Amino acid sequence: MLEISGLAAGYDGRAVISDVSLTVGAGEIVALIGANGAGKSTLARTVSGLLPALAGRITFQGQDITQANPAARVRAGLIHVPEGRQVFAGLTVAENIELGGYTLGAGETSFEQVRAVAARFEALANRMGAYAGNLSGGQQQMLAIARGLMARPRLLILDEPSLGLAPSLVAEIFRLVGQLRDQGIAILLSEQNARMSLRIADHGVVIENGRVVLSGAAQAVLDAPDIAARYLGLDGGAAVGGMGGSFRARFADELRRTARGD
Amino acid sequence: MLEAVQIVIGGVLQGCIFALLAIGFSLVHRVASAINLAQGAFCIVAALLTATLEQSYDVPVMAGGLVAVAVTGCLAAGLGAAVFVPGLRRLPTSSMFILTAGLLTLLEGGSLVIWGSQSTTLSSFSGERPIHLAGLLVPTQGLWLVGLTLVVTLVQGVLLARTRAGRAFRACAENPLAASLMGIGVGRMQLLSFVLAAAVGALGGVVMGPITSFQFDTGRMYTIFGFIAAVIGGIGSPLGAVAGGLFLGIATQLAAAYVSSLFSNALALVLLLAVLVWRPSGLFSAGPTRRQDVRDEPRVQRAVIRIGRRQGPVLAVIGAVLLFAGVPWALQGSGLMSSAIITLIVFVSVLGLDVLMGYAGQVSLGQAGFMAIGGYTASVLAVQFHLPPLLGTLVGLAISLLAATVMALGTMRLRGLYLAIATLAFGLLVDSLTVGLESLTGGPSGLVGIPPFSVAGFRFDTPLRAYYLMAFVLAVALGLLAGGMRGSFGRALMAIRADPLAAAALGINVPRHKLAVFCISAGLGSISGSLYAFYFQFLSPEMVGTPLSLQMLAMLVVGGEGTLFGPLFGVALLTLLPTLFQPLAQFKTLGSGLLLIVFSLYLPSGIFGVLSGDLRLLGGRLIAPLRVLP
Repeated sequence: MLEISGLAAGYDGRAVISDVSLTVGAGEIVALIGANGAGKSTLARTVSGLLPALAGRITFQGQDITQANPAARVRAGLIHVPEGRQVFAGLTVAENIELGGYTLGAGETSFEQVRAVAARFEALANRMGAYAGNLSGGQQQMLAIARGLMARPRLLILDEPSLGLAPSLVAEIFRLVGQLRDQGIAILLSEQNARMSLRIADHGVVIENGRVVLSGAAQAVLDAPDIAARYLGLDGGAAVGGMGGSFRARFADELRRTARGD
Repeated sequence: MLEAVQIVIGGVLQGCIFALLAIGFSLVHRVASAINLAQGAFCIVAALLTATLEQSYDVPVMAGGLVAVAVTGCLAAGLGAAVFVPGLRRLPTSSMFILTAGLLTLLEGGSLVIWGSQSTTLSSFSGERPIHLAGLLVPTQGLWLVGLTLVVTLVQGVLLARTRAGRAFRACAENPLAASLMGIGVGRMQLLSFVLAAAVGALGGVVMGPITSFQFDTGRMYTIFGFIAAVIGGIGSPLGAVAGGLFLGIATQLAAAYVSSLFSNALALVLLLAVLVWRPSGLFSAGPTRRQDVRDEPRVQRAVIRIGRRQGPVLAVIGAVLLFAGVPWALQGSGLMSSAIITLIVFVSVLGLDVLMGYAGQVSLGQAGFMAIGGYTASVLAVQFHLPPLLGTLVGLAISLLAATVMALGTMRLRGLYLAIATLAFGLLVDSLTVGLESLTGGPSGLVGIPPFSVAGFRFDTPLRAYYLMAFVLAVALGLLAGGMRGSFGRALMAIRADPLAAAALGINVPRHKLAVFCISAGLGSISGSLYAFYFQFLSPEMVGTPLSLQMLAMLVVGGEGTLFGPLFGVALLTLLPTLFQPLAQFKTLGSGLLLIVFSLYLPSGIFGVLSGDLRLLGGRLIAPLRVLP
């Protein structure tokens, strides 16, 4: 469905990611794993057209979209739910969701449509008239996803959907991601919470310093020894069901580096 | 009673024009989170175009008006695509002010070149005879104006609140990044709002043309009053724009009739300041208040220009030699000597602006107001009370510092846009006082008979003496500031510029620093204004009016803000060029608008930024031989 090959992109002509290749098949979840600053968001922004590609190709459903503008990609069904929620704070929840269907044309974004999408989210259904800026962090994340769903995505790029959320909300988000896949929406899930995302994903791609260092079946990535140590925590993180795994991993990494003295 | 109603009718008509402009401001602000100061200029361009069509080609006024609105719309589309939208993409909100001030100047300059400086008017759409209504006189054109305002208000109200495009407009202003992820063409929406606003302005200009006279620079006045109306009403709120416009129109007309026509502007400005201080989001605020200007965040960045520790002193010595020996030797006796002196005087004031804007990041559109306070206080004391110039300058300084303190305390909570408006209002208030207090200041025709500056009987009455006086003042100011900005005070200011909250969290007393920097800036402006008056031995309101504030802004940006020395290039360029190219004087405004746009878009670090690499190299070469010595 989505094929990326040899992609390089960055800011002001300086590449942050380079030679990135990955494939997302129909109805698949691909987990993108990497530390802060590894280039996950840059990749997401390039795929959705916010950043120009410096090299490489992006094809979506057989069409080369490397040069297409964001609007064209949205119309094709490639939807990016950005990191940090980015809701329209001064617009109401209903207006936010409705804007998600901007490219569909006036007839397709009726109030029933908006209601139907909102109904999937307990947190939103009865706050339709509230300003998005007044929602809690978790509600805003739900709103961002709901807004993405309104455009009838075939592929959803979720950039750090669990960032800064309480454990129960994180679990809810992951449950939702699973449901969306079961509906046939392909998902590129960029996460620091490596354990949870790999458990739900079909494939895993590990990105470090802007390059893909490992990719394969999710279970294989989960089992790769180096990955376990770097992103999943040395003890396997079993105690809290994988929560905070990435933090522990980074901490362990830091400790090791300090011990090595570099 | 009848008279009062007649005045209110006049106020409503005036208010309709303000409302149309305010709607334009609101529209652009809604989509782009920016203020388009060129708004009023589109009005005048359309009106002037209609006048030409009517007077030279005998085109009926209504047909000509429609053609003019269409042409103005195309012009706006071109300027929007080439200047406004690219600017939005790469400049922070405060620089958008400067960029659109550049557009305003450009349009004014263009109008001056094409149409000259004569004022003109249009003929009424449906006859010149006013309607008599229960003893009241209503010009028929007034009905057209009221009708247009109603239609525009309705159309844009429906457009924004009820349509998909309206919601997309708002989404662009709220969060451009997320908007483009929704598939909204953000750049296209921004351009559309810019063109729509210009078209509304142009329509307003054509319809009000018959009931007023206008010339190339009338747009400035409309920009300012439309802007004030938008702020009073609550910027971004369509209803507020109309309410603000009508309120402002009626209030100023009543004040003009019952108080004094000279103070009617002052009243408008006091109203504005009051609204800003007590209810910054306006009488009708649009949506929930934003805690932080989101748009500012990713775009606050600037090139860091550093002259090395060792190159610095070398360049300082070269600068001092040039300043005290080179320039006077080269220019003595030539006509350029006077330009050099004016450059130095204005530079002192721009230095203040640089500390305020370049270092502390506070936008000011009212620097000339402090020059006026300093200039008028010192010269009135000298002319009417025969006080020595030095004493007068100090009294002016004291009053300026007092005014700056009041301003700073009153506007402490305001940032960016609102601070800029408050400073603009301050500048305009001083303008209207210098015109209005005729018995003291000589009013619009100016104050004559000001003695030259003197200290203990020594008169600085020859160009060379005046030059050395200024060079001395400048050297002292530069020396003190260069020291201050390199130390912890300068670093604290830059921290406040980058993020006031983070700065406060670091333990920087933000209010105190803001107050200090306001006072430094006002003080330098005041001293510069006093010396300006003593040098010319004459002072008129337009010498130290708001246009000068905008010009000093251009000088700062062109020279390079946040560099102290950089603005000198800007001041010199914009002062000397018109003198050097006297026959091209009519292109002066056009040229400075163009310079302002080009520099703020493409060379944000100014001439100094471009030169600094070379300067560093030069400094390095000069100290290279010294390095060989042990």
